[in-house]
Amino acid sequence: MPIVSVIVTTYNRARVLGLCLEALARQTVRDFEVVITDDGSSDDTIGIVDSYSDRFPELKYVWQQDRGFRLCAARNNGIAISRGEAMVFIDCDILLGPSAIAAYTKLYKENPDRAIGGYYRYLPPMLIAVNDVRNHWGRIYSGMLPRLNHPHWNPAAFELKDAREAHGQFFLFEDEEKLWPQPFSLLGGNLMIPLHILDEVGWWDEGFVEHGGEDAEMSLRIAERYPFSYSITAGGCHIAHPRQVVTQDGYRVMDKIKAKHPQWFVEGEPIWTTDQWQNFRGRVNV
Amino acid sequence: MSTYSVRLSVIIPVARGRTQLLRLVLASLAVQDYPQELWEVIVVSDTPDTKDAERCWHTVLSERLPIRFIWSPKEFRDAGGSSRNFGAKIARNPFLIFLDSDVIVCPETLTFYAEGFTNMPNRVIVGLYHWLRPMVVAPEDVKTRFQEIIEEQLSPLPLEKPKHNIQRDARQPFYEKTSPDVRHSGGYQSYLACLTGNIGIPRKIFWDLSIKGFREDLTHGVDGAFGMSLYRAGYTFSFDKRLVAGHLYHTRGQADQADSDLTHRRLVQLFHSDDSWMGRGISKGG
Repeated sequence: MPIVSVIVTTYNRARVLGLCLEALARQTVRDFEVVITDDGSSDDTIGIVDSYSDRFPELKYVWQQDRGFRLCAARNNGIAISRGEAMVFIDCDILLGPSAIAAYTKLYKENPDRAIGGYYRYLPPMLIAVNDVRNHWGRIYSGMLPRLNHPHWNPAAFELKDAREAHGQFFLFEDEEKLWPQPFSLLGGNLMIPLHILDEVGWWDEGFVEHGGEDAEMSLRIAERYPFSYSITAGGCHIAHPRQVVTQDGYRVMDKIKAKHPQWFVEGEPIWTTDQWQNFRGRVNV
Repeated sequence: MSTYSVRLSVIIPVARGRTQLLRLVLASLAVQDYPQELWEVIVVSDTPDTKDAERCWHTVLSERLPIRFIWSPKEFRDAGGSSRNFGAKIARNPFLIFLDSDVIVCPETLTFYAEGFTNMPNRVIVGLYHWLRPMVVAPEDVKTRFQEIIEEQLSPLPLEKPKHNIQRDARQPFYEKTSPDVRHSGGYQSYLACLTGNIGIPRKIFWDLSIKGFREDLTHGVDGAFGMSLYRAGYTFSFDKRLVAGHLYHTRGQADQADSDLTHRRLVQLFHSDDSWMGRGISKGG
């Protein structure tokens, strides 16, 4: 039975999913399971899945009817049919670095009682093809950052950095791993949660049907019982896309989180401000 | 618990080469008189063949039912045990109904199952199915004239080759002797009658430690083994003759038949080597 199950969520992005699977096929370890969980694609996603079926020891595909944005339900489908002990959740537009699964496996074996946030940087779209990943993934990944200056890349339209860097520059530590101090830190695009933690705190909350927020809410549930760590090695790059969270969605999501976890909020203070962030950091106080 | 509060998950494994019949069972589910928000459908493709899986997925995509679809190109190699188990793992509702992909069911099927589970929440409910001659049925006909189709197929016919003509469900005596509300003792014969083409079972019983779902190491005889496990664990069956289904006749290759005979002998050997079991079986079922 594999230790790690990689659960890849996707929706009508067959080409990008191909890149993601190619990066998974280029991992330095082989003994992990891949579960592709589809939120209702109607494109050639199943064809892409089939074309990679011989590249992994275990590969599963689960599709749910397209009834709007149901990322959490899709992730829960993946958990249900996976066999691993540690669930690595990635979005289909994340290309994991070659050592990412090895890093997740090592971290889980060292301490199975924590969640791990994986690093990612944004990579402009259109700059990478399957053959690039297939033939030169190691070199591309290690030299990825200079490519951000490509002339077709308009950084103003996207978030260039990992959002977490703005909040404390935690990835600048020389140590690969630090205890993660913020409750809002885990990002759903690339993270690992051991199955026993998920069983204890609950799987993804399917009430989150807007883009974003589900990871923050899950983080709060985990933070009440278990620590987070992060890893640069368990990192990857994110094929960038325009931000989909509009302000109204963002407020609605935060209202849901507040209603569910009022203990984490200071009444009357606005959300997402520096003060609020510092407040979180101080409260956890590691 | 009223009838209309029972939530059901319908699990349909699709064996290799039977994808085209899936349209019929989905058509008969589309006209169920049970409120659609109380049930879901899980289709599990039991084939390593990509084209088959894609056809299956396209069929699923064209329906407007609450369906999820699972395909694992590497894992499903047995007689449907693993695919049914995958469906049961992902099921969200407390009561499971297993239907074969080549059956058509009456429009009240889900209501009858719900009634049965309301009255007997710890019982396995077994429906019947008659073998129908090979025929061409349009999904629209299944929706509009299910009863007529069944009656046409059950009318007296010259039986030169009975297998190729009408076959009434061989378990008819069980249904004639019992009513849905009367507890049936189970026993030597009833476990053999526990065919999984039209059966309902509470999820907690299905995953009982002494049952643990369907056996995944058999190429035939999954039904019998499942029935035996249930009986040995002390669970009882209820045969409901209102749960009528038509099973479209399909042929078996010689190799399949030989394999089936071997499996049956192995099952008998396996279970009858236990004297206590033998005694219980004879005394209750004889």
